[in-house]
Amino acid sequence: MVQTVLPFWVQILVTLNLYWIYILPAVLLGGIFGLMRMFTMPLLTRNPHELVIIFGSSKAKVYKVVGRYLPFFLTKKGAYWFSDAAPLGHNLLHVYFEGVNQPVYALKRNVDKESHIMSHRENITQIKGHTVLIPPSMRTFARNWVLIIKYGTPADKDKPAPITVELKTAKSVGLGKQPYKLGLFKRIGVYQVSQQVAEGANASKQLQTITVQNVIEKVGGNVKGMNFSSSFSGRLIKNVRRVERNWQMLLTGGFDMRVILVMIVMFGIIAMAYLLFLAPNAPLSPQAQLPPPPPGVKLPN
Amino acid sequence: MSGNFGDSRSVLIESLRLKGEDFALSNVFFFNKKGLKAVQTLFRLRNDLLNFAVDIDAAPQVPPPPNPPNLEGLNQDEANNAQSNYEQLLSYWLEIKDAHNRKVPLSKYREIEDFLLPYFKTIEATSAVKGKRFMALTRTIHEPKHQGFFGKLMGKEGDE
Repeated sequence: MVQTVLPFWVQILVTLNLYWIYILPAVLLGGIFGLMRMFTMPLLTRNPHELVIIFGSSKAKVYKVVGRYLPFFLTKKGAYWFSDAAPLGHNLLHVYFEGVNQPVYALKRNVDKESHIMSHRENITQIKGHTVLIPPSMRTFARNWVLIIKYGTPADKDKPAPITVELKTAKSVGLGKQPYKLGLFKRIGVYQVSQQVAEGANASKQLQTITVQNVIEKVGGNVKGMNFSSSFSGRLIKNVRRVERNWQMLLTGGFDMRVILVMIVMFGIIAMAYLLFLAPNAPLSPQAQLPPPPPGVKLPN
Repeated sequence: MSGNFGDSRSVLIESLRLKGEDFALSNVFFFNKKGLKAVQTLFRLRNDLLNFAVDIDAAPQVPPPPNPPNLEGLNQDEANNAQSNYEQLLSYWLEIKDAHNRKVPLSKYREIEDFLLPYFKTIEATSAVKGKRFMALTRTIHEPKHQGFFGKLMGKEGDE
């Protein structure tokens, strides 16, 4: 018996020839996904939305607000309080830093947070992941973006300054050039317009970076304690909910019988599936043997 | 403090009347160890909530403590009233002092206490607690003094 060893590239061609029916749709779908990620900017949408952007140390996450039943929303790592949203085009935007549970432009202490934690014990979905399927225009292909927060002049001294947010490409404000390499992820920085720089100066000099350190320094006087920590408040909300839900069981040392019920149903389904499909001579198994034909009856071939 | 400390029931009744928190907790009979976990969870939650509510600017100042009442020349009812008033004022003062020490605004402090009150009440109100406490007041339990093989041997020696 002669064994032929094919070269590697021939093996690849043979594999493609054999499995093209699976490979082609996967490549097409992946390509569409990649193109979509390259051309879309989550903050620029075709339809109006209320969006949330949370700046982390290495990633910024964008969510879509789907409910405003509670005054706060929970992510996996913490809780954040809503404040007045800043308009961005036809969208509304809330801007947060990871770890600080109030928007970067509304850092005055919210005195109702404790009451909110203790009274809103229900679990309602407030935000969902956000992806843009169809980009609103080809301009969103740019990779480097800046989010500029502008403080207007308040109509009254007691009222807070009105906030507007602008989204621009980094190139248009002189902060960077479009790189030649392609990538799936966008880059975004958050800035505010510096008050000190005189008008007429270079646009890039007017912009002042906002970092977590800036925000914490600004919060400074208020922040003695845990009141501005998003992770602490998130844990607190979860604990309050847990105690509210499980208190009786915790106190009397009981056990949730629903767990046992679910396990019984699960094992029952497995047993039924085995008896119906897999057991020898099961009624619905493909191997079920038909009874022999009655005498005198001839089966067609 | 009045009361006959001669027997255990009087001690129990007197101590329950005083509403000492730790004593009340020590009298709770839980079904199993998870009850201890419940108490721990509750106190941790209280601590966390108070930590979250810390606000240095809005924390209360401590007023001078209330003076103990002068009971001389008062009849029994008046003395009782004065004493209960004093206890009420003292507990309020202790609350303000605690809020001041924790740097928590008094309104938030009261709100958190009110939120946790039902949970503390449920600890007191478990049927198991009621049953055991009732039994403790009504039934005398004769415990054998010497148990086990060696205990019995020692008991015999002791009796003889």
